[in-house]
Amino acid sequence: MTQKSLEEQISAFIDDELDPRELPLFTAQVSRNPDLRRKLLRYRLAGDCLRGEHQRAGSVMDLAERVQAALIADAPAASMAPPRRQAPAWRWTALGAAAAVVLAVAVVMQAPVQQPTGSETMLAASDSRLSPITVAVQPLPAPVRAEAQAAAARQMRMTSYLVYHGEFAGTLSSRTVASRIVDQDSGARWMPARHAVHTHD
Amino acid sequence: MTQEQIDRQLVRKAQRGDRAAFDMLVIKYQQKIVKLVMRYVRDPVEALDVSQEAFIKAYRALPNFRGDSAFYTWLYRIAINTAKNYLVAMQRRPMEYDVDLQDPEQADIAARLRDDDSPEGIAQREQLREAVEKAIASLPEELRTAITLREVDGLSYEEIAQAMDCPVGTVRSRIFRAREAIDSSIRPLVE
Amino acid sequence: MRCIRMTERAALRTRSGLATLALAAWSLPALAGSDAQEWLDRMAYAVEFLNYEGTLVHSHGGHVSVLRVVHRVEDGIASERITSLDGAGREIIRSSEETTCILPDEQMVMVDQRDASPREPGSPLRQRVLPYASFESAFYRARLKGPGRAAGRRAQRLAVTPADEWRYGYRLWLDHATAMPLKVQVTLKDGEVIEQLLFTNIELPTTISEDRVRARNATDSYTWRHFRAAVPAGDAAPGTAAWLARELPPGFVLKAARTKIPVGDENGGTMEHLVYSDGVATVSVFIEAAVDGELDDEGGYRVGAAHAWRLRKGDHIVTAVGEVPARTVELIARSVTPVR
Repeated sequence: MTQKSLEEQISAFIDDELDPRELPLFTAQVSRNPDLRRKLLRYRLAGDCLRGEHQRAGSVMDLAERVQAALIADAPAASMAPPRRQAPAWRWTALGAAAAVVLAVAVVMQAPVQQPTGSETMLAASDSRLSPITVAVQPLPAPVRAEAQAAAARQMRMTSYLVYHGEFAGTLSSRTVASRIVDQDSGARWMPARHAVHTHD
Repeated sequence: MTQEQIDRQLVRKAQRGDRAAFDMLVIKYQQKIVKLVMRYVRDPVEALDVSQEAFIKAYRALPNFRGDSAFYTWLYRIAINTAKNYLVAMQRRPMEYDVDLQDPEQADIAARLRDDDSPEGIAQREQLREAVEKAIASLPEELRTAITLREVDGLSYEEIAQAMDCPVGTVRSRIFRAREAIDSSIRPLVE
Repeated sequence: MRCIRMTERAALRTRSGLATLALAAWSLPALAGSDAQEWLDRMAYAVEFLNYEGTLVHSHGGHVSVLRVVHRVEDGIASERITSLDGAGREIIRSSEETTCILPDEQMVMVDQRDASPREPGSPLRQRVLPYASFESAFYRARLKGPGRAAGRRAQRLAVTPADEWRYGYRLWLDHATAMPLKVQVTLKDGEVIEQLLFTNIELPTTISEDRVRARNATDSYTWRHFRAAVPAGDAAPGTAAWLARELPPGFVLKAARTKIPVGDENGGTMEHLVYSDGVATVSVFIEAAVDGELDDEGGYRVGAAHAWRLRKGDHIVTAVGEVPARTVELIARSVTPVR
């Protein structure tokens, strides 16, 4: 089995999507290979980060190793003391991470960075739910801020229009209307669009 | 279905003394168990110790596990008992919260409420978050969608395959490729 | 460019007449498709009167969002909760009295109250003016396709083709047992898919407890904005409307006209709301008094398959919104004028 396919199995294992027939060989190979075990733990850490619930690296990361070490050492069951205790205080960090993400998203909502140009590439650029965060921490020049406020006001107005419109939307569109209302990330971000019927000169 | 099958296989092997199989079960559930224990034991270091103890108890009790319930349900009860016993031994009562700890969503919020963080921890976490976000942002669209639907929205491969209109095998490969790309960014930070 | 525009404009003027002729011939085979219409009627019933809960994935233009939908029916009265699983967790709660929109990212709740006058029985989702969409018309052709699968269930596939480019087509995967739409694709006339809505999992239990449709967000500290209709909705009363569209795409007619008033701010700006429909697609037109500094956003907007067109008419701003092509909202918005 190649390294790549083993790593792909790790990814599937994390998702509970590993074919049970793959399991015996997978378990044997991963458990005795420290690099693969660490990769598995890092994949999980990345998932936790994405959900904003990651702990500090090296905390939960090594619980499995500690359990293994304890089992091998046949540590007495009654003892509550771990075989080795981490010196620096281990901290639960979910709140901080969640707050950071919430804050970043709030910044994006209050100040959409710029008026989109209407091109499809802008639509694509706004697709990632995470990428605007890095953009949002940049201070915005005043005219851009004003534009951003106008864009935010427009979004709110469009949202309220959608709420009223939704009452009358047909069976086939009532769900998409609802989706546009609740999707504040990019679904509700209306993009300028022109059409040939448009007769501005 | 697959998850239960996999757990059952791992448990059977572990019952025969296969530590590697048990190792997989620990890796799979350690996060959930630590979170669970944190509902009872405030101190994170203590919570980690109690979690470790719970896993060791589970390993020792494995021969008695008959598979009447799912492995996680069984492990869950062991972890709760271990945490309660620990509090009794320390002569402390479980913490009281306004939220209902039986509700997993609320229990999670309760865990967050207890956060007490060091500046060093915040900085490292922030670094990690940034690295993951940058990596995600630079992924090709189909990889980003696949990993987000899996990790954030919790959809199964089958569901993602439907949503993205592609075979399940492609989903598996896309999610793996996305994880590899993210991993290359966070590896230097955690190794 | 100018030349093209002139051609378009000329085409626009003659389009109605030509379209009527063309459609008369085109729509004949549709009359045979009553099986398809039966499925579509069952679909409309299922969406409204069955209990269901599921995860809905909505994708358009490379963007994907995931929603949790809980729909509950008790004594023939429906209520539902739609929650975004992404972002801040926005929610829409619909009951027979009102639609509540919770926007945690804005710390805001918007409540759209239904009319106090004759309480309509049934579902909040029942379209006021289109209880059942009529697909067998001059403007759509509905046909049964083969069997398929969606959300892990057996499905009956259907195709709804539009007669022209003023409206979209639909591809549907309806649950074989209940006709619940498991997957809906919105297409252009040439068949290109521009938007998709798909239940990745769905349960259809016999009952759903009331707390499943309650809001998940705590909204005590939020700003609440209430609106109510001054004129009973559903009253398609062209005579009472203060504004009307003078030119409409073929098949679209005025279905409702109402005035929305912000509750507790009776002096605040009211809003006229006109509803036009071709029996399947709906376009809403909103007319509000213009506020200074709002002149810079005239033009067309889109998100997924939905389009909006916004322009100033004297002291007012007109916005047309709908799940229709850009040209449809533009034509309607441009032709809106005061009645007197």
